[in-house]
Amino acid sequence: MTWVFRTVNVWKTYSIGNVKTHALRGISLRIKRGSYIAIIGPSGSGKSTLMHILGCLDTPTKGKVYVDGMDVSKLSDGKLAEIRRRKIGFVFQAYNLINTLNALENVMLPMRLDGVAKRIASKRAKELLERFGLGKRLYNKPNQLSGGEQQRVAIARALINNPSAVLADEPTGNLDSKTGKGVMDLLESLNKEMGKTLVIVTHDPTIASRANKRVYIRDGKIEKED
Amino acid sequence: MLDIAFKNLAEHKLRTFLTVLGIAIAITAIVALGSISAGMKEIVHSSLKQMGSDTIIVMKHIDITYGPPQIREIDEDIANEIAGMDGVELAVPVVRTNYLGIVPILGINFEDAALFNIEDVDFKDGGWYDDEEYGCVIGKNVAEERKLGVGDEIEINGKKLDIVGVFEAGEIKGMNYIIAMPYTVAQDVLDMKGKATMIIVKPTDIKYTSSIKHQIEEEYDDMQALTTQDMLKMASEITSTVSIVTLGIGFVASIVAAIGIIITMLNSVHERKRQIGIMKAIGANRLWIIIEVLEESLIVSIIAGIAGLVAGSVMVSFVNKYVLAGFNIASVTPELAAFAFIYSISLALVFSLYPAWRASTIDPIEAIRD
Repeated sequence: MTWVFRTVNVWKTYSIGNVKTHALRGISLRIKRGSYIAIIGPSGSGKSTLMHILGCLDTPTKGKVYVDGMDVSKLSDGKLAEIRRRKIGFVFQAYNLINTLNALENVMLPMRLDGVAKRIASKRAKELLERFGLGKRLYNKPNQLSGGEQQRVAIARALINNPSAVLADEPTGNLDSKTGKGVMDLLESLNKEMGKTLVIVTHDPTIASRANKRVYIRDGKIEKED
Repeated sequence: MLDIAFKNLAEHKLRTFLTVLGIAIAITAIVALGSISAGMKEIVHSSLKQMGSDTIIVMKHIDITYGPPQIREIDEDIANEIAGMDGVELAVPVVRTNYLGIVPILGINFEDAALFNIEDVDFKDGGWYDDEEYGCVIGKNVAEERKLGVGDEIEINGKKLDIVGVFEAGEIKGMNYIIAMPYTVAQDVLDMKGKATMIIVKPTDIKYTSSIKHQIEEEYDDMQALTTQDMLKMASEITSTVSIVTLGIGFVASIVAAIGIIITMLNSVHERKRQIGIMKAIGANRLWIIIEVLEESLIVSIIAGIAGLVAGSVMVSFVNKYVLAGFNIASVTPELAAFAFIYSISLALVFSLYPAWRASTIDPIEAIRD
């Protein structure tokens, strides 16, 4: 299967009373396995909505979405959860770690959600965190970690179930430029060294310029690709 | 994943404690009232078993609306008058005090003991008194509570009696809490010369029971003659009243606990909206979220169940010691303990279903954006 993600004329419409707002207006997109793509656009352009739909967090109002060749547009809640768990790793701007759990437990979580024994999940989570330079921070809770460290924990969490693709929504948005660069380097290494498909959603042209391909979104439509 | 449930509960210790407390109070009420009411039923039952199927008990009218039962004295000569009635084989005056707070005294001569179904109690030490003796026999619980045995003296109302026997009652458990002595000795101890508290009447044949009852009640306005039938009816009225009160209090306590569970769990779910959203985003399905919330209430209810059982048992032993004068009448049976424990868990799980369902419907995108 060449395409990790494929969308065909995807629309997302929100209705509040009689007012309809189109967040996406007919997006057709193909993302090749192992590619590194930036989805770029101003705020309100629909880029986050597109990422949510690609990541099976949301379903389109109209159109088709294929993940690893499977049509996910009409799947049940449970099935979508399974795809999120196994095929996709998310990295968010606000890290979105669980505050009550320490770094190790946060990373283990998607694996345990998949029914893997705690011991096995813990071993794999430790390996990842050590590789990301967090070997000494395993038992720290998110509020005891710096922003850069939290984002690296989040990246480890995204990788634990060995997904096909990593979707990152403004991954450096809450970080200073030096830490941000470190995080971007780490994300890119997943693409280069591990062959993961990497999709970065950003409004920042500098970040976007690092990707192999850019998709420009404006008013819910693809403006151009380069 | 119970470890995550534990962490969530530990994160909000006060809230967890209050939820546990709410359920524990309900369970305490159920355990305490349940065992006390079972104890009361046992007493009623024991008293009932002391009557032969054909005997009639004559005593002053009981008016349960007038506070605690008093010793209602009747003239012992009435026994002789009743003995002369048609169809009466025997009419024996007996002294029997029977109210909570003091050790019941039974004044009955050994030769009449069969009328009270107590002639064949099992003596652990010593034996029955002679009817002319100034002595008594005591039930095994009295012996244990007061650390008394054969050869010791027991002081009642300033009068000292020799203990000549310690017995263990079989079926009639209430007898274990009694001090029995000859009729005249009981009159002397209780300072009621020429008086009895009840008269046991035995008809020549069971078919006369009803006519004797009517004769006695016509002759003596202030007396009632109770047949086994009457006693059964009274007993079932008493026990059903006790049961209704127990159930009522348990029900109210359960409602309070249930409201507590719903409010705290909804509150907890609302507070953790973001956490639940994150879990869904990284792959938790709705069932998983529901189970997670239910696991928390399961932990809460197990702790509350144990706490309620302990508190209830403490309360029961307190009641036994200070209200029931050391008679272990109320007891937390294994059945009651199991019921209370299962009830605690069911209560928590049932009333957590709605909060759990609410949690499962949280939209991850919205929760993460907030």
